[in-house]
Amino acid sequence: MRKTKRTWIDNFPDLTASLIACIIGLLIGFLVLVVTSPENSIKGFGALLTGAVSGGLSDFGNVIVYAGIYILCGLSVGFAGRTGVFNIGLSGQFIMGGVAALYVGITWTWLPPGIHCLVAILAGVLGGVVWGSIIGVLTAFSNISEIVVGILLNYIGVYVANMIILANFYDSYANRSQAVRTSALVPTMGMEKIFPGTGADITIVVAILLAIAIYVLLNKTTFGYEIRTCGFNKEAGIYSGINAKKNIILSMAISGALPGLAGAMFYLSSSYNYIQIIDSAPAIPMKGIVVSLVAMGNPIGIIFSAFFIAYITVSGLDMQLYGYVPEIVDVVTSVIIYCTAFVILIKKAIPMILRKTHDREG
Amino acid sequence: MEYAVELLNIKKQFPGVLANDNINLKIKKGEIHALLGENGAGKSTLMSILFGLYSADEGKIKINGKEVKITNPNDANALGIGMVHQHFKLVHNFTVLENIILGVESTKNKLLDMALARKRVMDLSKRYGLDIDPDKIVSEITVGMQQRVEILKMLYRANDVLIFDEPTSVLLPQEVDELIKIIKGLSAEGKTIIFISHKLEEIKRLADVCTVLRRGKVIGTVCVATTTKEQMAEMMVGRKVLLRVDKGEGYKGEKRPILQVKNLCVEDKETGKLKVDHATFTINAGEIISLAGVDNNGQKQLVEAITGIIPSTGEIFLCGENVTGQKIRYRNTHGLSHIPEDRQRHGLVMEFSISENSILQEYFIEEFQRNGFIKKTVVDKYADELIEEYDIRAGMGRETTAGSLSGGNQQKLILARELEREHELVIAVQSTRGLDVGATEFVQKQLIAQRNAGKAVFLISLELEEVMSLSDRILVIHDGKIVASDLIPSEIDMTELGMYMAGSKGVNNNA
Repeated sequence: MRKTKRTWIDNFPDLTASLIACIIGLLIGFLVLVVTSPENSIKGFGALLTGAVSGGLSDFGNVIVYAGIYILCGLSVGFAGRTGVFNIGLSGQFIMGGVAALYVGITWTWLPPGIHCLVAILAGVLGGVVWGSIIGVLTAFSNISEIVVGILLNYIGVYVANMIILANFYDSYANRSQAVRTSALVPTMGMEKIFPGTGADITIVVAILLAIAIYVLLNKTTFGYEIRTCGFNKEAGIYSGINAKKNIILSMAISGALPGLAGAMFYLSSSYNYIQIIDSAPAIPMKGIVVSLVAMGNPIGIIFSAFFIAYITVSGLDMQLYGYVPEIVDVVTSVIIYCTAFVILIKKAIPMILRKTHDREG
Repeated sequence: MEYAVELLNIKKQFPGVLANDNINLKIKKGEIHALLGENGAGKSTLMSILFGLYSADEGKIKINGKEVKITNPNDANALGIGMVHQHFKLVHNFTVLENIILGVESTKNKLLDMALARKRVMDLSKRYGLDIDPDKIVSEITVGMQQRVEILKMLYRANDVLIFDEPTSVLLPQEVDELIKIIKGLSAEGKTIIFISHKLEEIKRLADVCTVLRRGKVIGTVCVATTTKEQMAEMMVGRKVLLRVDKGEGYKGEKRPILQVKNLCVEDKETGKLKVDHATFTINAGEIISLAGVDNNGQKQLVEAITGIIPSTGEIFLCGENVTGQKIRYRNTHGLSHIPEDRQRHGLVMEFSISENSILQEYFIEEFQRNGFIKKTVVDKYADELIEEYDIRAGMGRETTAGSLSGGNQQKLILARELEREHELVIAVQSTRGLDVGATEFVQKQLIAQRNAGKAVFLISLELEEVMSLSDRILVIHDGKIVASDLIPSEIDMTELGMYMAGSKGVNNNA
C-alpha cells in the first residue's frame, strides 16, 4: 500500500499540476481585484468567471476564435520545444502567413470560390514555413541563438508585410490593406448562425485536428522519435546517425507553418478580413508561448490551455461593467495567465509538500 | 570504546526501491571504516542521510553516544561531520584559499581577515601533509589538488568525522597512492574516516574495518586484515566472483579481417596538428584487440573517425567494404556496434524510457516501424527481453527513464542494445569505467562471449590490467601514432607496455 502511494506522489500527474496552476492564477487575480476595488471585487470576479457565457453564444464565439489561434500558436511552440528550439518568432510567422494569404485572397481573383480560399490558406502556410525555416537554417548551420533570430524576424516580418500591402493592395483611407474577397473567406460551417456577430469558423476544428496530428507525429512516428532524441540529447542523435541539422530545419519549418496557418485563417475570416498598417508585431500569436507552457508542451493539453486562456481573455472584458478600467482588466488577466505559467514549479513543489505530510503521518 | 557514529535501524524508501533497509552501522573513533557495495547498494544514500542531504524514513543517528537530528548539511557540520563528494563542490573561479574559507570566513571589523585565514589554512596544510597552493584558481589546479582542497575544507571546519565518497575514481594511480597516505595520516591524528568504495584493492590497502552493503542491507562487518579480497567480493555481489578473467574457448572459425584501417589521419581543426597520425591496423574476426595509451593521445579521435562522427583521411574497410566516405548511419547498419565512452552524453537519452532507448540505433528498421509509425508493442516486448537477458535492474521496468538507472545498469542497457543488433565489430570505449565488480565482470564476460562467437572486438581502455587480461593483441597509441601493433599480453609485462605508452619505445614514424 505504502509503496504504491509513494509512486503516485512521485509521478504527480501533469494534468493535476496544470489545473492547480490555473486555480492559483485565478485566486491571485481575485486578490488584485480586491486590492484595486474591494466593493466590486465579488461581482467583478463573477464576471471574469462567467463573462464569456453570460452574454449568450455570441461572446462564446469569440472564445472559440481566440482558442483556435492560440491552439495553433501553442502547438508551434510545443513542437519546436521538443526539438530543443524555443520558437519566439511566432508574430513574424503569423503576420507573414496573414499577408501571404491576403495576397492570394485579394489579388488572385481568377481562382474559383472554394479553391480560392484553399490556395490562400496554403499561401499563408508557406509564408510561415519560410519564416520558420530561416530560424531553423541559421540555428543549424551558424549556431546563432534562435531567440535573437526569432525576435528580429518578428520585426522584419511586420515591415515586410507592410511593404507588400503598400505595394499591392493598400487602402489609403483606412491605412490598412483592402478587404479579402468573399470567395477567399474561410468556411464557417454555419457557425455564424450559432455564434452571431463573431468570426467563428472552421479554424477551431482544424486546430484541434492538428493538435491530435502533432501528438501522433511526435509520439508515434520515427520522425517524432528523431526529433525528440535530438531535442533531449543532440549528441546521442549524432551517435545514432540522425541528421540533426536536417531535423532542426524541418521541425522549424513545421513549427513556422502553424502560426502561418493561424495568421492566414485569422485574416481570412469575415470579422478580421484586413491587416492594419502598424509598426508593432501582433500580440495575439505570442500567447502561444504561455499556452504551450501551461500544457507543458503536450499537444492535447494545449487544446485545453488555449481554451482556458481564451476564456479568461474574453471574460475579462466584462469586468468593465463593474467599474474596472481596461488597464486593470489587462493586469488581472495577465496575472492569471502568468501565474498559470508557474505550472512546472507546482509540479515539483506539490510532491515535496505531500511527501512531508506523508512522512509526518507515517 | 565509545562509538563516534552510530546509525541505528535506518530505513529509506525511494520510488520503487528500498534504498536502505534497516541498516545498522557503528563506527569507532579514529578508525578507517570502509563501506563496500555495488552501485545501487545504498552506500551513498546512507552517507547522504548522515550528512543531512536526505532524511531517513525511520531510524536513529547517534554521534559520540548522543542521539541527534540531522536535517541539513549545516547540522552535520555543527556535529563535526564533513564529506568529500564524488563530484567536488568547489567554486571554479575562486582561489584555493577562498574556497576553503567560503561560508566560515574570519572577519576583523566586519572586513575579511584573509591573513588570519591564510595562516590557519597553511598550518593545517603543513600538519596533515596536504600540499596546496592557496593563491591558485581552482580551475587551474589538478584534480588531485582539488581533492586536497576539499579535505582542507573539512579540516578548516574542525570536522572529526570525514566521509569520502568514491574518492579515487577521479585520480591517477600515483595520486591514489598519495591520497591513501593522507587518509592514513588523518586517522593517525585521531580523525574518524568513512571511506565509500567498490575497489577491493584500495580497501585492502587502507581500511581497518569494512562493512559490506548489498541491495540496501548490511551483509556484514569484517576486519580487513583477516579477510581476503575474494571473500569481500563474494559478500558484495552475493556469489563467487572471479577476480581473474576466464576467456574460455577461443574462436575456431575463419580468420577474416573485419576492420581494416589504412593511413588514417585526423587533423585538429584549430591547430592543424595531426591527432591521429597515419594509423594502420587490422582487426580479425574472433579477436579482442586493445588500444592502450595514456589518456588524450588520439584514442577519442581514432574512434570517432572509425565510427564516422568526425571527418578523416585515409581508408577504412568494414567487413571488406570500403566505408571511408560513408555516413554514421551506414556504418552502424553495416556491421559496426559502438559502446561510447560517455554513456550519458552519447549512449543514451536520459529522458527516454528503457523502451525508447533500446531502439536508438534501430528505430527505422522494418521490425520496429511500419510506414513511419513505431510499433510500440513490438518495441516494448523487445525492451522486456533486453531487461531480462541483461539483468537490467529498473524500478519501473521498461518505462523507467534511463536517467534514473544506476551507472552499471545504464551500461548494461547500452551493451544490450549494441550487442543484440546485427554487427560484426564491437568498439567498446572505456566500457567498464566507474562500474563496480559485478557490473565490470558482466561487461567483460559479454565482450569475451562476442569474441568467442566470432565477432571482432576493439577495446579502448585506460586500465592496463583490463588490457592485459582481455586482449589477444595490444595496439599502443602515443601522440596519435600507433607505436606497437602486435604485442601479445603473455609475452610482455606492464613495465614494457608502459614504456610503449610513454613513447620511449616502439616505431616512430618521424624518425
